[in-house]
Amino acid sequence: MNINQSYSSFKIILSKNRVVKRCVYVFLFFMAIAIFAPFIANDKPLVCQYKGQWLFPAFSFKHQIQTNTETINYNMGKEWKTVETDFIIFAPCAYSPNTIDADNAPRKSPFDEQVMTLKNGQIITLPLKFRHWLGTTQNGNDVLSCLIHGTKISLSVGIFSMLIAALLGIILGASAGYFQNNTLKVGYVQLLFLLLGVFLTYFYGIVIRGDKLAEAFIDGGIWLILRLLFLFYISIKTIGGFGWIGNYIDRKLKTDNKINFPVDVVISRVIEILNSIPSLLLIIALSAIAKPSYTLLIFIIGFLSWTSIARLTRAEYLKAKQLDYVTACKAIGMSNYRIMIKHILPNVFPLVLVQLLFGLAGAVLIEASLSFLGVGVPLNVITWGSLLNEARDHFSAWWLVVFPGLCVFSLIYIYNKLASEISRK
Amino acid sequence: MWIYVLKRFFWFVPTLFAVTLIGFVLLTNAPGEAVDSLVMSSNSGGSIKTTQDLEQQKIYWRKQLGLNLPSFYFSISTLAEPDTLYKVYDETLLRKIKQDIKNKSGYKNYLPKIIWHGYHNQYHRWLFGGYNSKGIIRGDFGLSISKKEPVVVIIKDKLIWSLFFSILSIILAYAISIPIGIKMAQNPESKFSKTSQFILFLMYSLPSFFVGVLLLMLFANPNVLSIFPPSGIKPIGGYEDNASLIEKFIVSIPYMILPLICYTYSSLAFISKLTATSIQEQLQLDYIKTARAKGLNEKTIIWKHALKNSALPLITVFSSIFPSIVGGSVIIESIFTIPGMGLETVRAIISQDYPIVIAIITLSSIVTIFSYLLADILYAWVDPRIRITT
Repeated sequence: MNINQSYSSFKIILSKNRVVKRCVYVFLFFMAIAIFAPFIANDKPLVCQYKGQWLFPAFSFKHQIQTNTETINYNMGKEWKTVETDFIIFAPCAYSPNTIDADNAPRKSPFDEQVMTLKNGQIITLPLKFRHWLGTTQNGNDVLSCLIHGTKISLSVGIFSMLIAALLGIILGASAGYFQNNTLKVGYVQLLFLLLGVFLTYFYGIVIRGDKLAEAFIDGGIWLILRLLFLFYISIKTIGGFGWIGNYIDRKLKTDNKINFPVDVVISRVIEILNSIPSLLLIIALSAIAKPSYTLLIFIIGFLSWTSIARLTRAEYLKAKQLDYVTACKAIGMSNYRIMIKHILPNVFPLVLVQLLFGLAGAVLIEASLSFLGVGVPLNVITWGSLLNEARDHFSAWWLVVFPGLCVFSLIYIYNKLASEISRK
Repeated sequence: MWIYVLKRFFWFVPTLFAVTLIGFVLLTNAPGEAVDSLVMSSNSGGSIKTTQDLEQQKIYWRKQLGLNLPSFYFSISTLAEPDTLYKVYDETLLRKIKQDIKNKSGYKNYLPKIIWHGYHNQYHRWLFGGYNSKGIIRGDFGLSISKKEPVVVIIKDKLIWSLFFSILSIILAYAISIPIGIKMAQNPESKFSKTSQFILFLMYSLPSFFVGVLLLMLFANPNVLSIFPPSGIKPIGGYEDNASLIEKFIVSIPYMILPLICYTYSSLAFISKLTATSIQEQLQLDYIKTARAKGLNEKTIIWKHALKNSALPLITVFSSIFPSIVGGSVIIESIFTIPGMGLETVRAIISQDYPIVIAIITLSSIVTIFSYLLADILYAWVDPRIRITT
């Protein structure tokens, strides 16, 4: 029974519903573009034969290669297009997002005449395979290439931040709904030890290492995230250990009077507090205060948007707690955690998935809004939002509005559509 | 009823405190030296010549900003550190002193100590006043770093524009989407309800910055259609002298249409869908059958009986729309250059003027909390069962 139920949410995705299927296909299409972006849009050729030697510059991690006669710089950018080779195949879009095509610099429309300068100074019309199909930006970046590489950022910010939000939301929402205010009992000694644990963890984890943590925040990046995660894990384990010792002493002392730990009240208050702060403002402020980076943005969005998932999970656990199968599980002596994870979670997961998909749409929107405003995101990366931002000052550049806008719209649309189709069942 | 209101109010006090605490933590951790930039901007006349003057200026501004106080009611530090370490203001000096203490004091570095500072601290000053500050409880949010004016003075005009737009757009959203929702509920299989549902869903997924730029490109562009002015909220020369409020409003109408479309369109889908489902539920109930049997016409049944009973979810939405509109104002205001809180936030973040940012966040959270409170009270007022059970 459990196995069937735990797959129920995947069954929904792979259902015969036409709309769901189409949405999943479009999502997979975006995914494929994000994964294969370096091979779809790259100024390095995929394959070329240079003076009798076969080279695969787009697949190589090296910056240059030593041949028998000379050193070839792989990062020569636009030069690749004029280099003399025996045989060369370019990526379908022969530009990287940071390649600057000065010949077509100040915003060439897709229908304008686009030119390129040959090595001998002759100016010719751009051949079809090098054409900027969706126009260029102010600096001469290829819009199509920026869109293709921007997919990666939009998708990953959404997916990873929602993974964090789902983890937090499900754990906190489930414990609020399942334990409520009168199930989780704490002995006095245990409570004392827990408070001591929190204090000591705070002292040894944060106060003593304050300078190092501050340095890590200035450096930013993936190391900061790993360090914070490690710190978080150790803290939880330490506090749990103190709780365990307290519980042990409680049992030895055989004290019967225990107090209820108001899980529901605490978590509901936290949700209320986070909900009352306008999240976009808070995200902008937080990501501007720290050094802007996408990893940090993912964590900020994740840690601020778990509330809607938690609220829904809490409500569902409240309902499920009344049902017969949970009573049966309790009757045969299953532990609370087993009931929560193995028995209730599979039943409520499709509903959580709906909320998750709405959250994904929200995260994509937040990322695009931030890069549209140009605050809280690294400014050297061109994304869908920052392309739209360029069009704000130049209304004649319609291609800088329509194409990125449609990309953001279609990603948000498929997330929303999937959510509403799943929730209809 | 009053007991219920008091109870709710009592519950909102801790939330308010928590929100101000978050704002304060953000403020104290904001990068950039507030004192340095204040001293630099006051030095533009070249009044400070010697380093002694500079130090005195710094001490003066630190006193003005309350930075010579400990940051919170208590602090946790190592046993080695003295209680009054917060009085050292120079960042490099502080680091050197800390290093010195650390080298000298051996095992004491690894033992905790709680220091109680009492209410002479920055948070207390920021919240309740004292030491050259009235506290945010009396509406004093401190000093803007880049403009050297009180934050309240800067925000006051901006707040009016933002509130004006958000309230107008909420009213508009309800006025448009409730009739649509009712029409959808009356005949859910009709062509009208299917097409409007589709269109509303499309609009729900459209990002507001895309719509904003697109609208500007189409309707405020001399090359396409130049119907509306591209930016601002009033004519370039300002209003005419001694124009009345209504005249000002009429002059500003062309400036408001595009932003209002942007503010409103995305919430239409949500509200109308909610109206449709809750009215559909109501229409199944017995009292509607009775009303029909009595011979009331359909209009009275829906608008007078069903709508009143389905008002509850609509009230809930009201309280949750408000924060999203405040957040959305950041984008819409910076597209249309409306001099509101959103545009001010972006400007302040770019110029590292964090007191303004924190003031805006704290202020809008407080307004949001009160809108939740208002929704709760309205809820209890509409449905007496709620105030009796809780």
